[in-house]
Amino acid sequence: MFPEYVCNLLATLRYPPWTKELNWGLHMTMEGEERIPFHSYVQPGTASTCFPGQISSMPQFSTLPVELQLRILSFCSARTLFQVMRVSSALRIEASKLFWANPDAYFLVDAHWLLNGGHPGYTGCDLPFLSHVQNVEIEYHHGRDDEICPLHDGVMEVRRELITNLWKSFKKRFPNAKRVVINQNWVSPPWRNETEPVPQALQILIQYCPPEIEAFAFIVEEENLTIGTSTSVPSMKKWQRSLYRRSAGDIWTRVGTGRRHKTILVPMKHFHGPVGGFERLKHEGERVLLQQHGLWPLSLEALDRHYFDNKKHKSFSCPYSDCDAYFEKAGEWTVHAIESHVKDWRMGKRFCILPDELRVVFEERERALEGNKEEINTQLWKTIDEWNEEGGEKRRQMEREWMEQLENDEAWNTGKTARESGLWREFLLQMESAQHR
Amino acid sequence: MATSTEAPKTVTLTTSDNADIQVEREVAERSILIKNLLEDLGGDSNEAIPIPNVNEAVMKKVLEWCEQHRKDPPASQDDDSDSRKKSTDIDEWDQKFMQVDQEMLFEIILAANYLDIKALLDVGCKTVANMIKGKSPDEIRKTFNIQNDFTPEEEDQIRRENEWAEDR
Repeated sequence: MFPEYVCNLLATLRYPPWTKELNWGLHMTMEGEERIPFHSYVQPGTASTCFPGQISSMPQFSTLPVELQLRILSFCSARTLFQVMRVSSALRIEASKLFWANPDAYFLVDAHWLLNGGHPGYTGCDLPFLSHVQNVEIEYHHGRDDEICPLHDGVMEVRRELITNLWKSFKKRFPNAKRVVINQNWVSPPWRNETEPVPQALQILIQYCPPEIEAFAFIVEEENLTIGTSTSVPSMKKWQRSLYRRSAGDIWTRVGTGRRHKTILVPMKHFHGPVGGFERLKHEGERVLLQQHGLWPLSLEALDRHYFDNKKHKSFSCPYSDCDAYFEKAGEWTVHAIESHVKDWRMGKRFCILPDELRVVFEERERALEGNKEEINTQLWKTIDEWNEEGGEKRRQMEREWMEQLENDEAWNTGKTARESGLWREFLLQMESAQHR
Repeated sequence: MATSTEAPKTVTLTTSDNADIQVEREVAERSILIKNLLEDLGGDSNEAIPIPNVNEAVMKKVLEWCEQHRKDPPASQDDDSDSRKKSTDIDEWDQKFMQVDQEMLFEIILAANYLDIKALLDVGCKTVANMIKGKSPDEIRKTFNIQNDFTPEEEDQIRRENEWAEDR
């Protein structure tokens, strides 16, 4: 993991006092950013512990003035509001307003999808869901700069049509959006000669954002950044995530440091038919990968809690053999491990630093996730084998079914004919990869 | 100039059931409604302040809270901001204070709203919000005596939303 991602990991982990159980469903990117599946976001929590003498019902609730009912709802978490939305017509209206407006939660989509027109076929997201979303996080991956603002001999070309297309797709898919965060979780390459914290391409992209939507750039920058004066080597720099907003006169103001919002994964759509069956494997595979990435940081928290949780207070030495750090307080190990041993997180036997009882649990979890991945691969190979069956009868049937679905099923519309669809091309590529097996 | 030996100023509040309650002005002024009324009446008026929407029992309970919180900083302008709404945590004294029956909790919330005591209103609302936490829609209906009055269209939409909440 690159040093600039350490700040992401530090934000993803939980620190003492630990008020919740270990999150075995932790989803995390390779860059250390947490992703919360929608079902976890709204999963009903545990009921409040009633203190002695506290009443547990209030039948007069409906007779409270509406503004007081709303005030009560305003104290409810997203997961509680999601339940309230299913109680009655009147409460549904008000709880929905609060639920979708939650300023702490942003729903994730990929910039690539929007740049390519936001066609239903190229996303695993449930499209009707997107029409409710008010806060959107656009993941802006490596390489997007070269799409929207390519460099030619050091001169930047602004591809306005592509940028306009992104915002057009955005408005179409998110008609109720009010805020957007563009997440660039990587440092711009040196040849782009950035002179300001917010990279130029990102600035230009945000300049085209519809004025009624509040737009932010969420970037990686050096701590205590002084542009043009840093001489430190990259690995020695300390990085932080910062949120910038564009104000009048093209001034970019840092409105906060660190991650202040949760990034929620949009629920997946229904994967019907042969196209859906194939695409489901891809999207499910991505979710398994996020969980696999989340295991190492989870093991750090588990070790910290092993020594310091539940009224335990047992100092311990760093379990890495080449390190003499010693931890006397809860949370010290977690920070130390991320700052000093992040390079070890993708090494083999990464759970060997854990005491036996923890190691067994983590290895079991790792095997379960590996099993999920293998199950996905097995299904993929089954399709590949059918495609490559001798005689070609099965292949012709599969092709007919694919063409029929791509031509008629709006869920897999890519804005192109069935044969020119990127989904079909990708499918063919996968099927033909079998020849190199 | 006031001296430390000077007796604290008091005011008299007349409740809806015609009970007169004498209370220190500083305590009563936790209520923005009473504070404004006192200011309108001028500094040294001895006139009883009518509180027609709150009965004696509830008023005494409210004043007990005001007494405990008399030195709290006044409510700030951004009291209604999102940061206020982040948590349903209630401090220990307030939790004990809220150990009342349903009717009293209901009346405290109404009184805090009428008397414009935002912090007390929030404690009341958080107490009710905590009752909702972790409950299913059906349990919430039972807790608050609410009828399920969804139209078939709404039921359809809810079915779709339930699918979003599934791990699939």
